[in-house]
Amino acid sequence: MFLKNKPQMEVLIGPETLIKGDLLTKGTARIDGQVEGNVNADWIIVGETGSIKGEIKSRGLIVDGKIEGNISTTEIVEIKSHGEVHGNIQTPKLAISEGAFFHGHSHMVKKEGESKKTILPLSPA
Amino acid sequence: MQHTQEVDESQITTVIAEDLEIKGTVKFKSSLMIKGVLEGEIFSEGLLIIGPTAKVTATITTKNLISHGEVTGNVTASEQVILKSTSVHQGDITTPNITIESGALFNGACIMRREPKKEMEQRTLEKTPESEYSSDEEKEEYGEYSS
Repeated sequence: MFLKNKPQMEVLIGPETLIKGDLLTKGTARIDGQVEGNVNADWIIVGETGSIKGEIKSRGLIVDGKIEGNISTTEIVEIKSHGEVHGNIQTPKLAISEGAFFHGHSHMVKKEGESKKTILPLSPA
Repeated sequence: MQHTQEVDESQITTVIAEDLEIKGTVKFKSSLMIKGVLEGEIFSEGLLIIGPTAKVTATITTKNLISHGEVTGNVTASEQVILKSTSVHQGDITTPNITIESGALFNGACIMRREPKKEMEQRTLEKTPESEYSSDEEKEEYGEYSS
């Protein structure tokens, strides 16, 4: 479906698997099973059967499954039509497909180069 | 990302032109496209389109919202919200269906309510007192023993 990503697939969690604990990898993690814990990876792909309960930190995230927890990425968050996110999202780029579910806050700041339309008042240095 | 049908401007009842600035309350039933500046409140039972040149600072209540422009304020849409790639949204969105294109900027909360899912949750909650099942089974078993 959306496997063609440049980084290596380091972690693959099958649909009949439950993992309790944090997951840390420098590569791509594809999750089709259940993870209860924080996930930290370069790219995270949550398949339709996948679910994560915990904080997520990555460069990019594609969700077609369920996520309960806050998300923080440096590049993009994409919620596909079967995707469900309960939690806050912090990302420069957010895409939500029709049919997707998102309940939470979205905090977006454009990367440099773009016209900075949303600048939060910074406290004096 | 060109799958969403483009809106035919001639089909829209009211269009607020680019050089028009409005302050106040806007109410409409069918469809409205804003290309100019609007400050205030919007109440509608139809389709609200915010053009790429538009700047809207308002509390919006509508059925459908398609935004290409800048919106500041809370939005409640009974059917769906579409934030196109050029849109900038500051404020909360309450809707059962949301689509955000890549490139759109959204700062705020997204509140989604979906009826069937709530029912399912309630059903699972109702199921939890398992004592009823076990007591029924026990009664049957006792019944069998006594006969």
